[in-house]
Amino acid sequence: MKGSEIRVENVTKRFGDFVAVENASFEIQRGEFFSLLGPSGCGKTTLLRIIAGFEDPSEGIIYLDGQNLIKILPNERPVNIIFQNYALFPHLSVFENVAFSLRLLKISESEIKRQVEKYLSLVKLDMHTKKYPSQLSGGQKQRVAIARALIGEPKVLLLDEPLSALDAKLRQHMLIELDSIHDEVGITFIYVTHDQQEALSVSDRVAIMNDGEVLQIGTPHQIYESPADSFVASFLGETNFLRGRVNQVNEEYAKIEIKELGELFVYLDKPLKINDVVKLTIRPEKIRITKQMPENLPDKFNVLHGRVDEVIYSGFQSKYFVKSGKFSFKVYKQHVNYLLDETPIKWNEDVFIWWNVDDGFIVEVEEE
Amino acid sequence: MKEKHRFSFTMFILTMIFFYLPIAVLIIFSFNEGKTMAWSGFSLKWYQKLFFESEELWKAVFNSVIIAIFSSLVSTAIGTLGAIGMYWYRFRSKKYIQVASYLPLIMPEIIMGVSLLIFFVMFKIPLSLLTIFIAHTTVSIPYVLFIVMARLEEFDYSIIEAAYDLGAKEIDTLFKVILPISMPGIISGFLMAVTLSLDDFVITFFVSGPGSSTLPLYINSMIRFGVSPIINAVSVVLIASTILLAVSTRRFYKYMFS
Repeated sequence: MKGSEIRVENVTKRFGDFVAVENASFEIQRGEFFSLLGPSGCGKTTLLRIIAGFEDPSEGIIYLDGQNLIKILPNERPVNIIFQNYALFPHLSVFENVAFSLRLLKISESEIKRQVEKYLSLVKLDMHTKKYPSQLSGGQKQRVAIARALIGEPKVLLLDEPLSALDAKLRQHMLIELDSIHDEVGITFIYVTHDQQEALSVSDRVAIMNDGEVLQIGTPHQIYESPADSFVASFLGETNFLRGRVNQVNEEYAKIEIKELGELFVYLDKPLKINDVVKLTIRPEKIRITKQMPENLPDKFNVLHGRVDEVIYSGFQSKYFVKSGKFSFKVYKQHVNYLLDETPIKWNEDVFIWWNVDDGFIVEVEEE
Repeated sequence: MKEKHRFSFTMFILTMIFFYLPIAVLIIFSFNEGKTMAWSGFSLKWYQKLFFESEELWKAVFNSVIIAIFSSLVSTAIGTLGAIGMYWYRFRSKKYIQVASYLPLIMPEIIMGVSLLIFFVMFKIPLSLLTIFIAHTTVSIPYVLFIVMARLEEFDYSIIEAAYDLGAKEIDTLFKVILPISMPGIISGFLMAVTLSLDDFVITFFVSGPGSSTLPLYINSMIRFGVSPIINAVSVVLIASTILLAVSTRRFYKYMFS
């Protein structure tokens, strides 16, 4: 396996009174596609810049294969970065941009040519080698930046929101290509983004950050399906939150009493005591919606009765806002076979919404 | 619509006349036979006098050119380094230094002249070509700084970080990234400094000493004894060389940066 493992140990970065990164500790495995995900200003870019060597941490150490990275200057670190705005050299052609790091090493002209061509074909940009950055499209600039960063054969590639300047369709396309480039070169990728879709779709593991703190680290489905707290749950896609009081606990489930709604069961993923006040979350696509009361349900389902407050039809799915008691539930229904379905659910109809007890999660506990 | 066009066209013609009529008169009368401002026949005698009988004038031209070239070279070097330093490094007093370096741009020339004169007298530096050279260099630095700074600020700081990241040391970054991208600014700054130096009168007037006349000073002293058509002739030569310089710089720019 190429690439290196990175160990971030108790890294804190302060700018004056402002704490950009607070006591971050995690490990990134060899060859992993690791994402730092969070809203803007959460410290993810600062953390990346510390790894690149452009900022020194106020406290803490970063190890690369067990070697302390902090003392090494950025131009000697076996780590390369792709900037958000690509930072291509405007006075150099595509070829010379990519060749930049090799030219510093006194490598023979024929070897440089061979290497540059190899990496330009890796990023599928063999054509425009004589053009200048100002003559390239956003996607092409992106490819030059990737080739330029990879040609020095770094052990870790850092990507700072590399797709944010591209339009939505191209972003999707480049994302897939980044993933295949990662598979091909096999080195460690650390990917910074604020877009949860990007992070979920390509990463091996994701670290979610907010206000300088790392809140949760896990595989995409771990962080999506069992978010550690309400920030993680709401940052990663849409969700419903409910607040209630625990009034019954057994080995697997807890019964939560929610005012003006009723009692709901929830999977016991955290230890709970009777009378704890908890916040539970249920994703809108996990909730099913029907006109009739579902029959023959095993007892592991929560069923609520409500009225459709709003319908947003968007082709492949509909979003329903269902009012039940005082609460409004978001419910997403995929239209697998819309025309063959029962008659479509319309505004102001009485409906039943129901979900598997295992799909609900406790995200916050306030002990009494 | 047509009315409107006619009005703007008239304004355009009037403006052009306002700009160029004096110059046209100057050019025409450089070929005048007589010495007064009345046409008395075509002649090249003032050009003959200019080229063959005006040793003093050519000495002044020579002084002007030498001072322009050397003061521009030095001020371009200092101004460029200053601009790069301010772009590259982040330090606490950066804002103040920036403002302080731009200040001479808006300072009245007469104040610059007087203060430089007092400075030279205080340090007992005899007024000569050297003091003119120092004065012109000083005055040109902020212009170069300003122009090169403006050029550099078109680029995001991340290109410096990108160069470091790709293994470049500071010196590589300077020569392979920063200097090449600021080159258009450096050349513009240099030309600006040459122009400023060539036609500066006020400051030069204060800091020049005996025998260290520049062309503007010399022309001024000639006018005191009446307007000689030689002045017309020298002006025509200056205009011609300015146009030549402007055209060739354009060519050079096109060749270099496209």
